[in-house]
Amino acid sequence: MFISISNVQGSLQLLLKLDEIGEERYSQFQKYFDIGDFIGVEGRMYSTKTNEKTLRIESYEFLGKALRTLPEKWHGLSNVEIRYRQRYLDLMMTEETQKRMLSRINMVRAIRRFLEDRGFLEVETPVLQHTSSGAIAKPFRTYHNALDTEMNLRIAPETYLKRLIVGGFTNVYEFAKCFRNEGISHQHLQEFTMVEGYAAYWNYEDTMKLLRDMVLFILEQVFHSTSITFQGYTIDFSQEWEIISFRDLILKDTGIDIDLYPDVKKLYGETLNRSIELEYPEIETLGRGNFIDLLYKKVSRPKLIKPTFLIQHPIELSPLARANDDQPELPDRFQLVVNGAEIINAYSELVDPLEQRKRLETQAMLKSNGDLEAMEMDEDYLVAMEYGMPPISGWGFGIERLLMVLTDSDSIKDCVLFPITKKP
Amino acid sequence: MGNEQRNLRIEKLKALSSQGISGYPDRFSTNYELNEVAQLADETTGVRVAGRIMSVGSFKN
Repeated sequence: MFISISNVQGSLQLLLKLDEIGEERYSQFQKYFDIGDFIGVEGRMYSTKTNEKTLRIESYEFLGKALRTLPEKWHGLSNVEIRYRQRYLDLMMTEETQKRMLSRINMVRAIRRFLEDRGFLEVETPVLQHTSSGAIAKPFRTYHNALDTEMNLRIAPETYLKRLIVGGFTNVYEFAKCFRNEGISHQHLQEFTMVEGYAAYWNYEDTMKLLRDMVLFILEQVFHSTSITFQGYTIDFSQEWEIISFRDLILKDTGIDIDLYPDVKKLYGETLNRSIELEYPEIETLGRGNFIDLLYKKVSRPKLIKPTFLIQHPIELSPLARANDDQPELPDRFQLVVNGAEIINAYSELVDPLEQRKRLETQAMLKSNGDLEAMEMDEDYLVAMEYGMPPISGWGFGIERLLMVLTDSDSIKDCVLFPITKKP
Repeated sequence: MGNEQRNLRIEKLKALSSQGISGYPDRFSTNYELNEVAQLADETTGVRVAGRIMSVGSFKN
């Protein structure tokens, strides 16, 4: 009889023949082995008539009994919650899952190799933090019993990595598990892996070059090609990537020049005049930066399929980014957008402690006015900054988001081994 | 159905153990990864691999 065995990386056909193994061992296999059990074998190779490499079993050992039968209709399983909760079954049964998860592992390995080769040092910074900073997001709260104090799970490693630059590191990066207490969607995980890196003496244009090289390196290492197919389009990443500003992009897609509307109410009025549907609850409460961001997400982002560097974000959305020397209302920041999703965020860092204090004061005001995502005042970080920072540029991206885009997956949950599921 | 199948498999486990065969042995040494084996030449001997049984079929050729 033919037996097929597998693991996450592949499978193999075995041949068990009565006249080669003997009556006793043959019937023992028939009596006691089931599909799902583990087996260890020794034998020699041959190719079947249909040219399939097969191992002829000379001896075998029982290696582990499965008490439960493997599911039969796994592929058609409509309850995706079960697929995620029992991911080990999905890994056994679904080749696509095996491939995607192995791609993730190869991607992580490629990123580490790329950064190590360029002299970046991998560090670890705390997950438990007193203040929640480094991104605009709602944190998970927890409690430190011995210190008798509330703490947050980190939303980003940013301010700790920048403290390391103060401490004398010049090139650092971290694979940082981060936690954001926000709505569940196909695009958002509440627990995810962020890769962030910082380089002293660089600006965002240096980082642009680094990250383009990194993306090309990942594509070559993981997918063995710099071309990727999304929704039927094949995109060659080795071509030049367009650089476009928020203003020019929105002007192109809506005819509205946001620079002519410094007041958010007038800008909102103009979108109404042009019958642009934004479908957002309590839209009147949005500040100008968030409103422009919403407009961009609705009208422009879905059309950005080819890799594009989006620059000149509203500065309100970038409280830790350096303002441009010539246009202080715009940060020296970029995002890489591919297939309708932002996959990398980067900027020249704000290193002036006095300016940083002002920006965090603005954030703290937003927070006290009910914006739960705004950053808190972070005195501890400001003290570190006051000891002096060199020019710095940094970048960050979520591993799952990058994998989702590069593998054209429907849900970001497919890009993590064990996504959060509802309580069973 | 699930439970019946489970009981049946527990019986097999007991039968194995009564013959001195452990259902959960300590170790097994392999000398190839499963996904490497397809590259081996025919008649390569002493190939030791392990894995989970995903299907069992009757003689095809």
